[in-house]
Amino acid sequence: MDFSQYIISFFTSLLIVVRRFIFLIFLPYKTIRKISLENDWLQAIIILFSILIYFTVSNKLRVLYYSPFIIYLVFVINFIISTCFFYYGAKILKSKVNWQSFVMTFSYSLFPTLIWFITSSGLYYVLPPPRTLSILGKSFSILFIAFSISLLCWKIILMYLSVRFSGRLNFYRTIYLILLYLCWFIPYSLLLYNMKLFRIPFI
Amino acid sequence: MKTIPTRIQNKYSEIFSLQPNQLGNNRINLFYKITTRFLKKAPFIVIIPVTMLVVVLIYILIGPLLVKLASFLQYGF
Repeated sequence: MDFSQYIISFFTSLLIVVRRFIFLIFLPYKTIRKISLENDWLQAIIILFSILIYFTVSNKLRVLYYSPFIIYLVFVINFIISTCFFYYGAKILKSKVNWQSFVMTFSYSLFPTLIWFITSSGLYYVLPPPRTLSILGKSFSILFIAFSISLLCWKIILMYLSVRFSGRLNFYRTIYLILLYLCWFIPYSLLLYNMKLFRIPFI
Repeated sequence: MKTIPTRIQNKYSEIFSLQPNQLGNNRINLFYKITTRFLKKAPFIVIIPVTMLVVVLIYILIGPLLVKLASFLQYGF
């Protein structure tokens, strides 16, 4: 493959990522089902690279305790551990699963997280915390919490669909696997918080 | 270019790549189908009003703690 073909395949994958991002808002079920059958690694690389850009830019807004590259490395390790956990979990519960499918769906389900982090960084710059008990402060708090919970709901839907379609599991097994994941991920997130790596886990 | 039968075949294999959920009871199945129907297509139509309502209720219950939570989350990135 020559250089021009690399460029073409990169822009094709980028276009697909943008298109699917919009589709994830309106048709999450169908889109995740399609993504779970995808085998283009470049799409996952584009999404993971955009997260590296985010960490680098956010370091300019507020100086992080560690270098953004270290934080990104921790995020990538988290991501690999999470996908491997669900892959092996699904493999134990059902034999025929594909790790690439988990990487694809989980990388797309990072969109709500990325949007939340970008918005928080922007708001931190525009309206620096702490919030006050004035009417404006209270109104902003209500809107910000509602926005955060909405994105969390979207994240939960995408996460559930990712595990269901990539793991080819039924409802109960999907929920069981997610609960098992939370059993170790919550203490792990607290550890990352104490180590000042992540205040809110980037999953 | 893909022929129409191939496209239909691909679409069918995508749709039937996974069995529909069976929750063990017809009533639970029906409840699941009704609930998830709203979340499969444009979930924000349901999510945004519900979260707004929930947050206003939380504000009525815990008041200033919500403002502290917003400040904590703003430091969270």
